[in-house]
Amino acid sequence: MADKKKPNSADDRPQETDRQFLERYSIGTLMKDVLGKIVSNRPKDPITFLSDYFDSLEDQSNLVLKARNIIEMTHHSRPVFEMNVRQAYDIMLKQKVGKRLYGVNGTSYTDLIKTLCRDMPQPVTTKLLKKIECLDYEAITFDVFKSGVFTCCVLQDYVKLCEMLFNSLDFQSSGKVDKILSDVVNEQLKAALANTRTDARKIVEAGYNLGPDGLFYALERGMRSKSQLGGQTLEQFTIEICDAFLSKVKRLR
Amino acid sequence: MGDRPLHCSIKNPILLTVEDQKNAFHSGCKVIDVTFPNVSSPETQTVPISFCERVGEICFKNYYTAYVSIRVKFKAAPENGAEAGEIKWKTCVRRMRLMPSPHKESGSQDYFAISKKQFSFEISNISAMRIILQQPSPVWKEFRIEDLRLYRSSEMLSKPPPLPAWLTEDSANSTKHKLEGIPNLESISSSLQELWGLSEEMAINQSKTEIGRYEVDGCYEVNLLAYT
Repeated sequence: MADKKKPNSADDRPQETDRQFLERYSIGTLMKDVLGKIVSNRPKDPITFLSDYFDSLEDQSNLVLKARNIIEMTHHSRPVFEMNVRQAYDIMLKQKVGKRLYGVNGTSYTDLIKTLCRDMPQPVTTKLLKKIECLDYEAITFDVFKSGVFTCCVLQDYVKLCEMLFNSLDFQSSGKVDKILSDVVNEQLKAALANTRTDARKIVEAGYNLGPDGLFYALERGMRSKSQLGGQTLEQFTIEICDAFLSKVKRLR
Repeated sequence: MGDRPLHCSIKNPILLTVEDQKNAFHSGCKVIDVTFPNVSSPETQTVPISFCERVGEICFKNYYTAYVSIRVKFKAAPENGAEAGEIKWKTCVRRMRLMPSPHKESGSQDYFAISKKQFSFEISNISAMRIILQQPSPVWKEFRIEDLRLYRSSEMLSKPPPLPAWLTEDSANSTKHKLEGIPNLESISSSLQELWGLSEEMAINQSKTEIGRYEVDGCYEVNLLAYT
């Protein structure tokens, strides 16, 4: 008989206060953590940050994903980034590698790099891995870990910038950029990056070549050649521009 | 100064003094002797000859010298064949002022280049040169000239390399650059510069530690392991 059944509600435990309820699920600590993270990371969109954070809390099983979420909490230029990388490394240290052996080995490092680069074209990721990958059984020190993670984060920014550059070169918004323009731009960038960092004169020269004046002359030369090389899609463009970046990535010895 | 400096032997400056038992004072005058050792064919000459065909320019850095004079000795022309001709010293540059006021600092550490125009006559076929330094002011403890160099001619043999474009570009013209078909040169340029900046930032932060591999040429060579 339905009316005899007592509804299963707060009447069962009437004495529990709000505080005890919160403590049962350690909501307090959770809130303190998230507020601390918001203050130190200063995300541009705190609401999205909050929702992503709570989403990621469910992903407790995969250490690599946890590490990735922590790394992506803030921009690589902020000082908190280094602390986050250290925290991510500590999390990944708990990965079981062998019998009673825990640490970061080549496999988990490569997994992390791959997941950090998930938004980039596949050829770019492949080339990057060729330079910074480690063999599966090698132990990864924090220095190597930090350098690889930092390179990935800067590359993420770089790829986004490539897209912006593509859009500004794509005057008719056709989705394709004239290969001549793309070649000229690529050449200028490669020339600027090829110079050594310490030669002051070369740095000023590179700055001039990438400025509006130097670029004007280079583009004029290119457009005068009048050859038709077709168009390039965003992906092809990104792959070529990333070549310049990857040439500066130091190969791991 | 288009060519290399002349090969010459520059002696240390000698301070000229006027001394007798009671008075010894600093005369403020020094002489630098310059000879031009010539390696002539050893079979015909036993004594090395000092000879110079022509001097077009004399360059040096001053160090608190007030006046400089240059005297040259011409190659002794054998008149009778029996003896060498008289030694003739002629003054080529007479008391050229290097410092407008000898007591004051101006001109004391300047660079000077004495060219043909300042010579009284053309210096050719000389055997030795004397550079006389004078500093009448008692204020300075020491005076000399440094980095003395003689050049054969003062014409520029080759044009200096043109200045790079970024130094000569007139910024007033730069804003007028407009390429047809490319409306936003500035935004392309700024994106490229940001890309450049990102790459450099990444390159600076690359790890310098080695990962500790024992590989040689891509394979693991047991024989190359060592305890060190």
